[in-house]
Amino acid sequence: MKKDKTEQVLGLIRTLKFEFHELSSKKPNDQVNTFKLKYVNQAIKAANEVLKENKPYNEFEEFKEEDLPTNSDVLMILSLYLNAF
Amino acid sequence: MDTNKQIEMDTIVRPRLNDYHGILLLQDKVDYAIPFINEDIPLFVDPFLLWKSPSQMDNGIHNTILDSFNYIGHLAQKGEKEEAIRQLIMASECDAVGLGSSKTRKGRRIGESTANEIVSLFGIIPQLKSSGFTHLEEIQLLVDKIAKDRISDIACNFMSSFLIDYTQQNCIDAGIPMEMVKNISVYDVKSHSFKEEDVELPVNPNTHEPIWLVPKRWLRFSPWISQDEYFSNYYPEKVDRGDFFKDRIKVLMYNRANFDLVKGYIEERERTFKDCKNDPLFMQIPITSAKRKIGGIKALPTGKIDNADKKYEEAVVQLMASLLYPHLDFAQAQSRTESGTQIRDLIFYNNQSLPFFKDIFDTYGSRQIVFELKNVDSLDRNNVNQLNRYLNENLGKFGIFVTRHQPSKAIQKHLIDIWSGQRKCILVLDDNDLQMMVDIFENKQRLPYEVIRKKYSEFIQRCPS
Repeated sequence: MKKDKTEQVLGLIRTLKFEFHELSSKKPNDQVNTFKLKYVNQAIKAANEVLKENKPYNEFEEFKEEDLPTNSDVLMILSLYLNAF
Repeated sequence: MDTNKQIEMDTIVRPRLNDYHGILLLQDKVDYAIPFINEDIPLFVDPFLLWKSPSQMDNGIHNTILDSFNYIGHLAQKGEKEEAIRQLIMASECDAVGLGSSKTRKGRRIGESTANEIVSLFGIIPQLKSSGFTHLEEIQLLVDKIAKDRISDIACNFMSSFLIDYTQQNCIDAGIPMEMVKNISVYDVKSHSFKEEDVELPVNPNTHEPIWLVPKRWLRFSPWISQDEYFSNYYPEKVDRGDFFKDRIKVLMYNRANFDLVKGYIEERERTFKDCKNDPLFMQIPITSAKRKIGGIKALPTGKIDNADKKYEEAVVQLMASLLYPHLDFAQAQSRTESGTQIRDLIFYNNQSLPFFKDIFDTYGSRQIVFELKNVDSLDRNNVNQLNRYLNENLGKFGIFVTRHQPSKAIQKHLIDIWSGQRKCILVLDDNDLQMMVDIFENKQRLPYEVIRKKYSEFIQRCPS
């Protein structure tokens, strides 16, 4: 069961990373809209639950909407999460 | 006026009817132009917009206006010239709609001689005698001293009954209080005369004069069939090829004798009706222009060399008003003097249309949001204290500096101390923040105001809890 969940989250993070790689290569400094950010945050939360103490940064839980993260910010974090798996 | 409300209104810059009643309206979201309390809206009703409108109701109202106006000619021909002149004078001014360039919301009716001149047209021009006017705007091409403001007012008076119903309906929808106003002159279409009626209408709190709302889709800066356009384009091109009259009065006289030329002009304007659009109450600058403006701002030196401060202020005013539209309605750019220094502010109505701005209203009591513009290398304590004194219970305790660079550590600490001691929030936007707002404006993924929200949450995080 646990393995399934890990696989599922890993799949999500991998797909998101691919998508943000595309976005970021075109417009790295564009702000991410709230729709995309909502689903990135859902994936990161799920990853935090799976990774527990192995998550990349202790103080990083999720993106805050008002921080206006850019495509490259999101890509960096997703890459770090992918490495952590 | 209620004394408390009077005090509140004195502190609001360019108050509108809804501000007086504490009702939140966003100009973009309502069908009518929100009236100002102390001045007119600088637009006019263009009857041509009713004529070309796809709406049957608008076309119907246009016909009513013309029928009523042509009835004046009918009266004159019947030998009731005095009644015709009386009606025309009554119709010639409409303060209740508050349109035009007056600073006082008070206009004057036309004189008897001008009214006589207009009424006489029905007798001297055969085409008008037989079939009347097809557009009210034709008067401008035949009589001197009749321009867009008169056309607009005459149209409004002849559709007064509709405008009153429209006003009442919209006031009920928005919750704007009305009171019984006695002896309002309303044009009765059936009897073709002005009658006095007692009706419920919103009133101007200062003067107790009634206010009528006007649909914004009927407003233009100048009418489609316009005197200026006729004189500067059509007349020199199509009628007079250089050796004719240069004098307007003579042209008007010539037009009366050669009414077919006026008809030709009207037909041409009717053919090109597709190009006639209402003028928006606020014009947002396009993205390319916003990018040019931010480029220009960044290239300016700080200080007053070569009027850099004036150029900076001008560019920021245009940029901010557009970046924050339609979520904040721009009220005014205004200057105030404090301790001998000229200070430029940008004031927005806080319509609380977004949760962030509602939060600012709830926390700091800001019914208007103040931006203070400073083209200085670095903010000093004096600058901060000036804005701090300006922020008070009435204006609200939230203000934003727009300046060139982030403030020094000492000033940042000073701003936090002001928040801790007086619960006043002062944010600072610099060139980079403006650039970010423009980028967001361009890429459309987020809204430019979110940069202010970001600055606010960063500021609050630094404040002691």
